[in-house]
Amino acid sequence: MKSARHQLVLLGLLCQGLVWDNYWLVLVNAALWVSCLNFRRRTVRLPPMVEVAAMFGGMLAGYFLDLTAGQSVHFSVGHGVTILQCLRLRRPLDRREQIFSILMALLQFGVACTVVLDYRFVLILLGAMVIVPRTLMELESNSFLLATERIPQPQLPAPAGVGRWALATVAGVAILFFLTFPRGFLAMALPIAPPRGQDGGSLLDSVMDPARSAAAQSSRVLLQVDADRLGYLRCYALTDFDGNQWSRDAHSAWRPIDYAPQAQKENWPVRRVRAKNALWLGRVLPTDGRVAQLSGRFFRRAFQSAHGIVECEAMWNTANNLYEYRIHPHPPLEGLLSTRREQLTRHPPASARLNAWLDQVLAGETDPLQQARRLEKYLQTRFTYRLGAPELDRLNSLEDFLFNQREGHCERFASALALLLRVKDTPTRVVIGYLPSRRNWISGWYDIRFKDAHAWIEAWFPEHGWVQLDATPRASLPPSGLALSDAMETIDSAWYANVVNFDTSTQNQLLAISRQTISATPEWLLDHGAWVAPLLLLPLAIMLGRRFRRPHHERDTDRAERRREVQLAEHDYTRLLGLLARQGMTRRPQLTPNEFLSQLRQHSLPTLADVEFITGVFCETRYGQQRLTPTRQAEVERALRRVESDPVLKAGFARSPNRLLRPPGSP
Amino acid sequence: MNGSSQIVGTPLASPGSRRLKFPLAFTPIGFLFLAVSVSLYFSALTSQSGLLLLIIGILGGCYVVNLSAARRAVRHLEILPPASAHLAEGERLSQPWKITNASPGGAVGFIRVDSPAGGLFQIRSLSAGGSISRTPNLTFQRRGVYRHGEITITSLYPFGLVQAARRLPLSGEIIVHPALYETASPLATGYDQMVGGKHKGHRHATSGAGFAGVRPWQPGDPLKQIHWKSSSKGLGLMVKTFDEELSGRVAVIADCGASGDPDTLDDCLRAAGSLIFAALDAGHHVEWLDLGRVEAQIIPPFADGHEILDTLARIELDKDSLAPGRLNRALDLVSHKSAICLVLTQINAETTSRIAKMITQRRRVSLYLPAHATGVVAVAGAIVFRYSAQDIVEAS
Repeated sequence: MKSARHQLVLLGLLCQGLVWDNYWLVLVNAALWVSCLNFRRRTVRLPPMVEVAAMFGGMLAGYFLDLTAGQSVHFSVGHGVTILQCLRLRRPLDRREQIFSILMALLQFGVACTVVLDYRFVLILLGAMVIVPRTLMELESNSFLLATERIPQPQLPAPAGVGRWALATVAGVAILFFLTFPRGFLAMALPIAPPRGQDGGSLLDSVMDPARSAAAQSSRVLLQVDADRLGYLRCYALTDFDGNQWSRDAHSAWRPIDYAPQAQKENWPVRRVRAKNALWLGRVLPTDGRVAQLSGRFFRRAFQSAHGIVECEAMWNTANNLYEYRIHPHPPLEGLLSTRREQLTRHPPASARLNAWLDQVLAGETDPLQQARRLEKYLQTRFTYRLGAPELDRLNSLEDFLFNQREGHCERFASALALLLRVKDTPTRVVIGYLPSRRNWISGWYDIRFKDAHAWIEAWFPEHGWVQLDATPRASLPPSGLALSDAMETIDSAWYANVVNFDTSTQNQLLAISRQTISATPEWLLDHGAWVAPLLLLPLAIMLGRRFRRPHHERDTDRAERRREVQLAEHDYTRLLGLLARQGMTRRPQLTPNEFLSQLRQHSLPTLADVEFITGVFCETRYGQQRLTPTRQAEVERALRRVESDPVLKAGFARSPNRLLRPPGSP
Repeated sequence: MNGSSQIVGTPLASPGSRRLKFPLAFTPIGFLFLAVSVSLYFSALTSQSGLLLLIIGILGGCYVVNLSAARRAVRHLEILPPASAHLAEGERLSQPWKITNASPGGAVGFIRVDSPAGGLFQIRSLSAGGSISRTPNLTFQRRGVYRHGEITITSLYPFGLVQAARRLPLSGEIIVHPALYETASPLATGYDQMVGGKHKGHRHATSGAGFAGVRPWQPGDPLKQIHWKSSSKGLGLMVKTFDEELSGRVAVIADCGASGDPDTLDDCLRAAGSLIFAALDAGHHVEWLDLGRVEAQIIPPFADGHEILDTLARIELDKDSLAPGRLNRALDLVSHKSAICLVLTQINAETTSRIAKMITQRRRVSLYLPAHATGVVAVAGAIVFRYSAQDIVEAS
């Protein structure tokens, strides 16, 4: 993985790759990085102007590539930077170029921060938390390298990598900074690209014919709802039936949400809902029950229809589409105007066969609610849920469903029950929405997926008001999702809710909580001091004990290791002196190793490089506190062998043992 | 060395007492990344999410760690330099300094030790409790007294974004003498007999290095002067006579930078020092005065001149050294027999008139002016020389 700077460059390249909504560019950039580093043996140093030209060429190519791939052309600047970074991987850089390279990598990382908002950003962030400090340290460390001479002064080792505590501090400060730094988003919410392909279907499409589009059966999560007991989420109320199709009430009046006083609704059930993509909602805010309070940041001016459907004037995508509402726990009975009643009981004329069937099923039951329950149960138990059932007879779809096919999806059951109750003069409406099937086992939130789209009916009874009835056979409803997806959705939800959407209001809430906690802490400590104090003091005592004990222990270990390495270096150097002494070169006691080496340099010693290397390692280890790694020791051993086995050296010394100790020019 | 501290221009109350102006400061890289952070913050304002703040947070974390580690490094690093060191301009220190990391907490690194003359050495890393001896690789280019109390230790550990500096409470100093060069001895006057004098007189003396002959004994001649070999020839007691050994007198008066140019002052002091040592080597008495202090120092011939070097190292720029009266006062302090060598950084009318007056008094005056004062060839009959950084030549 080469140096920390190389790793940071790789991080930048990966970030640049992630700006495309697929992994092709990521792979290409990673491959570029690997190839540039692996072919680095032959340094390629291009003139600066060529490098700049290549960068602009990369920008131009990236522009057309982005156009071809349907991506934003703004990222073409990053493509040019990628080319420049790759070119500079192939040669050593001076300090200024290194800094520039780091800045470019940070630029690419910064772009990723604004584009890659999902869990992939966590990986990038973790990488950056480790690599950025290491890169800065490496940059500074390189500038502190001493000017090497032929035999260098004792070179001190490079400082150890960034410590765990330093990394923890960096991470802590980053998080603290993120939580507390004042912020204010000046930008409007940017539109997020709508889902591509077959996922573009609306809710109505999904429910009316779920077999038609893949979105209907998609496990993709549409909503996540935090609630204790969540009812049916209502999206559309279909009131008018023309004999073949249901439609919404086009003339229904919209009214503001009837907010209840704050004191009254404090204990009312609250729901927090996060919509993955506002485009899938179609200006409707799915709710269950009668809404008494509503707030959110991705829509404007919410209203309620006469049928209790919450819809807003405009909706847009934000990084986190979150809304919160409270419902009335015991809503008062709603009356029904005669005109409305007439509208909601309108139905095609019932045939004799249908009436006879109804009489048979109801078996003399006269109470409207009981009639409804009996019909609901009848359809649930005697009919079959099936997706993709054949189309019903367009002339008499109800009877075709009841007497012939006896199977279908939820909308057919809802439609049939609504019409049957209307035949019995009970006002009904078909409601389209979502049926919360299961909670996420990690987060506890309900994951509402596309395939949870559902249709049911609501019938009005004078004594009970609006009552929900669901005739769809439950046993045959599609199975729930996988546990793995639950985990992913939980992480995703937590990430978006707590990180991506962390804004000023959340920040203020956090500060308020912190203030409250701090102000309440002394009182709490006074109340619980008896058992809290030992709990606090015990770790403190352990920490203090370790603080006073650890340095000695570490120092002792370090010293022992150091002694061993120095002994090893002295041993090797003594071996070298022994070899040289046997060949007529004796180091006088008053000579330092470097002075002795200087004497040797005045003569043409064949293995002088090895002698210099061994002397250098000895000086660095003995006086320069540099560590003698096993690799380095192996190199010393090889050098010693070369000195020992050099035949030219042996022959030369055998003829004139003291030749090398005489000053140059002497006879 | 007496009173040498009085002539240091910026005397220190006690070593290490002056505080650093910026004990904590951003490095250029630190400023650069600060600017990057600010630009990222403005980008974050226009972004959909605040994730960009996390990058700023990472950089901020690096600043915090850097600040803490660098402060710890400079607080726990101990330096043990030699008590004092003497060297000439253009030379390096030869004695090692011991640096110890007294921090119990961990390694320190990226340490720079600087003196007012420049960087002494750098240390890349030093483990906890470890120590190392390093010889400063700084070449001292200018004369002066560099006190250890002014040595600062700076650490950028570990990220190089913030630097912490501390002035070490050290005692001792590095004395850098002017780099002297060989030059001809100045002309001397007022030759007096002196044993060991390098100049031969016309008379004979009873002691000396050059044997001149014998003469008859006279009352008062010491017995040890008797030349027994010739006395044995029967002509009576004969005593040995030697060539008279004479020593001249030279008064070197240096201006302490009336021109205001420190480089010219350094050249001036190099020239003065070179003249003094040339005169001493020629066996002359030297009277030395600088117009900043106006106190005469008499140096006998063949003295090692260490005190002169020390004084020359400590002289600081004084633009008023050619103020009216100072030269007169200095000339009153020197012997009337001495030849006067005026080593000046510039010349003014008062000095010219005073030289003219001395010439009329039959005093031998040599005037040494900077090489760039090319227009001046002769001043009121005095011989004019020009000095540069490395030599002295007679003006033509």
